[in-house]
Amino acid sequence: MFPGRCCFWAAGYPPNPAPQYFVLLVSPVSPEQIQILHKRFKQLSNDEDSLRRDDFNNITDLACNPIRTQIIEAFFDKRNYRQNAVGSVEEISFEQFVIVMSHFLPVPLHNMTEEQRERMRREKLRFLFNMHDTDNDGTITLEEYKHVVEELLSRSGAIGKETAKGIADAAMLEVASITVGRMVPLQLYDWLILKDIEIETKMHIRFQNNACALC
Amino acid sequence: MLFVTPLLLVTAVGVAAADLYGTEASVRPETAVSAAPPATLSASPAASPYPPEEYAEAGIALARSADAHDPVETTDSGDASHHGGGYKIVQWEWSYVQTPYIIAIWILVASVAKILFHFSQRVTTVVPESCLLILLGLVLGGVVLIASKKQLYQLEPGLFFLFLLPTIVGDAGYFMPSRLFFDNLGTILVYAVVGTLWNAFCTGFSLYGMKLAGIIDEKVEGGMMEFLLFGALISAVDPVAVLAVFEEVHVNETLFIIVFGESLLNDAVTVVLYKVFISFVEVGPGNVQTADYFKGVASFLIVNVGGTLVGLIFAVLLAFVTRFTKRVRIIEPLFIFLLVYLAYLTAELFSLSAILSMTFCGIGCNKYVEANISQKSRTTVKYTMKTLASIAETIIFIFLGISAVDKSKWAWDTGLVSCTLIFIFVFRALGVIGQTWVLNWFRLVPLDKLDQVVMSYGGLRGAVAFALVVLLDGHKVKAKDYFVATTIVVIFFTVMFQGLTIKPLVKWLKVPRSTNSKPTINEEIHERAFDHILAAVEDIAGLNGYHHWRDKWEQFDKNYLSKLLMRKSVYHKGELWEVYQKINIRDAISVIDQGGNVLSSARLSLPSMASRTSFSEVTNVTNYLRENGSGVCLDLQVIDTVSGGKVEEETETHHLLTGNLYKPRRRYHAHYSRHFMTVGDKERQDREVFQRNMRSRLESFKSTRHKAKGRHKKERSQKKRKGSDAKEQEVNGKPRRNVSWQDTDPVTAPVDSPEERSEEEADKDEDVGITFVARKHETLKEPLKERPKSDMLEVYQSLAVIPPSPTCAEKHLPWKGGGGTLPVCVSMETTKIIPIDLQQAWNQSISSLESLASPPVQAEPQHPRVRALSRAEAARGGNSGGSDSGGSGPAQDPRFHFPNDEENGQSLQQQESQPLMSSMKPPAPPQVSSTQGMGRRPPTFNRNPCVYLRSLVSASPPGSEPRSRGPTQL
Repeated sequence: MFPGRCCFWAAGYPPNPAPQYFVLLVSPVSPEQIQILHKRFKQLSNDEDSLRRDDFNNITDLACNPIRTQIIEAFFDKRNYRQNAVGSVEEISFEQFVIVMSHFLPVPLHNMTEEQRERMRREKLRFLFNMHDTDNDGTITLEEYKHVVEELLSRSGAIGKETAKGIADAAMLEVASITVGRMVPLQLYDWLILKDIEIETKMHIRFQNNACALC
Repeated sequence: MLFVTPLLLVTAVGVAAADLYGTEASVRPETAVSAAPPATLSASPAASPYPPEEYAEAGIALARSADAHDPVETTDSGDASHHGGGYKIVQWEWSYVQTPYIIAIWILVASVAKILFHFSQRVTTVVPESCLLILLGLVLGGVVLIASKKQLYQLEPGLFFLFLLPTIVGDAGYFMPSRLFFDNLGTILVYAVVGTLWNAFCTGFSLYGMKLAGIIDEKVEGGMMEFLLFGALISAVDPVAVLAVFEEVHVNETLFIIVFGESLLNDAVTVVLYKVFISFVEVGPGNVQTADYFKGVASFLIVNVGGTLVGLIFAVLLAFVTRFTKRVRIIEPLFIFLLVYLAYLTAELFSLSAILSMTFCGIGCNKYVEANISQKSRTTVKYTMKTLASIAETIIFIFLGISAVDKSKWAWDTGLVSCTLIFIFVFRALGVIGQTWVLNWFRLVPLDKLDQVVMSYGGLRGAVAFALVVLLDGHKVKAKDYFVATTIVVIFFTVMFQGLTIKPLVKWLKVPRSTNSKPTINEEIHERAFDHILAAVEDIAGLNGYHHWRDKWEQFDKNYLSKLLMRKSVYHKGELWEVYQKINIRDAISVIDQGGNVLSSARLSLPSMASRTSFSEVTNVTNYLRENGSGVCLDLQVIDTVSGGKVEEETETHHLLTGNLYKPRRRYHAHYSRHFMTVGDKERQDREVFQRNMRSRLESFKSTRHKAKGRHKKERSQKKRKGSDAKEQEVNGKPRRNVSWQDTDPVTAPVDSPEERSEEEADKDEDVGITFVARKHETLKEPLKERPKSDMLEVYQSLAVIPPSPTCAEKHLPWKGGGGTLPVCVSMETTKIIPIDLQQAWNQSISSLESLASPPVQAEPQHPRVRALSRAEAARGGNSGGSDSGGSGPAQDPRFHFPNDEENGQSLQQQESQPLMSSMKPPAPPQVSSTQGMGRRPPTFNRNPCVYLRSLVSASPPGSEPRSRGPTQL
């Protein structure tokens, strides 16, 4: 059923990683999923023990993804490993790969406590936030946000930065308006954008679920 | 269509138009009777099932009722005969207008009924409209029955399938949230296909079993095939009923789309089952061969796929056509209606699933068509579709009610009725539970128990079932009458009982409701980002999942389809842009609707963005705003929630707005070239919309800043209400001053002020914002001119609670918004609301405002012109006000053209927008965008404010100044 299994064992990867490793996972990863991911990991890294940016850049399907760079960066962002480190790494191990991927794995919503659910949601939001917060300063500035919008629009080409700016501006104003009553230092939108994401967190999770329905 | 005739002839007796028909009957009794037969002749082959004598009967009934009106008639006819026998000045042409007249009256009755229902909000919140309509139908049907001793009308399948249903399905398909739909397509298909099959067969077999068991009376003749046929037609969930009920329940989107999608897509199943079983019944169950079953399956596939294909072909065609309608904007909407309808008819033509065809045509073309057609066309399409669908729905339910009152139809069998009711309910529930159980293996957002309850309970049957059962051939299906009666009972039970109770049920079960929030631009951005992220993650994980394929499809769409189906200009803009634009426009409307608030006016920037120049302005304004600490309190939420119930009114308001957003003068231009709206016009309109929004944004953002602090939203909004109510008293004293002030102005037309005032007062209960118009109007000039600081605190205290609602003026009194008065508002609002301790900040912002305002003016030394212009604007404001009330507007048109006469078109355009620009240009790129400190004054500051002020003030002659100061001192 899982062709990855042979690969998995062949690669000699420990089938049961250390428990503290699981703590780092955003959502529980089943052994099958680990096997699939491991296979993919090996495939991407050409049987190496670590992945580099180039490996990601070589994925053909990714080529036309407008926010490719950000997503790839997310895999190399130390913040996403949940170890309170900041900065980015040059190459990632399989553990790190799985940790990042675990943000996107399906969530067994029904057998979780409210607390766990909340924690998981936070982690996922954190991930998104980190992705937008490119300079690691804990705030998403207008510039960063603009950048995101620009990239999103980049696939449509002609619109260019002006539009992106306009949209980002409007979005920022909107964020500001939603968080009525909280005086916020200018340019410091911090969690405000995140707050906005929370509104649609459900959707977020759902998509992840769908995405991983086939895991 | 003619079948409507007899019905209305009769109902009219009981309703309102009795004298009308009476007139007809007595004046030319022979026509009343003789008019009917020809109608019948033409009708009988097509739709009318009624023998001619019924018409005669109707005529007689009318004649009878007309006796009372004889006196009127005689004078009428006397008149006519008086003027000579050869030629009658007034002729009675009833037979000529009969059909359309009656149809129109019918629709009128239905619409008026809707109005009446909505008079009482308490009733409509508890009882769904569909129930009320059915009840009304029952009453009308009773009237018909009493009047003519026989039910003349029922919901005619021909009419239903060819005219009423398409309007509803077309609307549903075109406005289907396609994203949601496709995300849940698998689930929907399972419910629609498997669920319907399950329901049909289970119900059919069970009923047959009951029949064998003797619970159903012997009189109900029918073998297994008959009952299967009945099961097939009764099992399909009805889109009309589901829409009608669920739209009022507001369950969450996923749930809604599943139930509604199912009701649309199960059409194919129903159609096929119905046809298959009818043919089986016709040949007799004994003669059915095995091959026939396979034919049935094949036909199922063909009907499904064929219907979908026809729909998609028409969708492509439609999208392609709209690509080239640039020069004929006027008929753009028509193409949409025609082609979508043709998709339906074509599918019917080949006996494919018409509903599927239309739905997919709508879903498929929506994206491209919406991108291609102009904003106005979009609005037109939207409201026309909604209107048609709404009226069709109304008529369907009324006629369902009427159809029920028919003695001939009531072949009642308690066993059959109760068994059917129980079975459809039980099997629906079982089917839902079973399918959900299976589906939840695949769905990762499982449908929980509550969803299942709502889905089971929401299995409403409706007019489709009724039309199908009426279509049955009574000779071949012996038990038709029983089936008809049972169907009616089932429909009434589901629509009325379940429709009535589903709302409390949903509330009681605490089923997650739809948030009903509009998608914000952020949500859009994130949603798109999610899509890409997830697609990327799938790619990285090496999975070809849903997102992977959607991403692939989007690329295909981008690279080929959109290129083919979209205009070049639109194609390059991209989806996010479109969404942005939509949101902007929507907000523009709602902002103006609700009195304006910063947030959305920020987004309003959009319309102007069509042109690059103004776009850069936009961004700069937003920068400017942000740098000034704008982003704090924007009342959007507050106002939104407050006026949440006003959504329906938006339609109306929107029309008002589209008419009045621009300077009325533009409208005159538009009249000349209605069929060819030039791009230039559009751009100017866009710019103007933008400018206004900017203006309102500038003012309101400043004012809201302070109010924002630490106050609770609701509290605030309540206060606003109260405050403004209180304010009204004061304000009411002022109008006169205002009027006289305008009177003294040589150019302005005084008429409008009293008009407005009365309008305001009439409206003030409903919309708080209006009162400010008056105040703004007069108070405004003062502070700017003299900046009476001592007043400021006072003013602030009294006005602080008032929402900054400049744009409400534009909404309710559009002509107010047009002129040079508006720039004034900018400064006025700020003055009003900013407390004294913030004086400095205020000064700074004002100065920056002024400096911003200056550029255009400074560019060319035209102060006098500006003044003349703003005065002209004021005059025009008066004009349009006057023309609205008295109609003298156009006469003064030349006057405000005057200042421009010597200019060529180009500069004319500039000038027109000058007063606006002066306040708008603020965003002028270099100054603002780079300015971090908000008070930085450009070198020109000292000179320009004068110009600015003058242009603001010039509308009021010097003599009136003292008076206009009065209000401020209040």
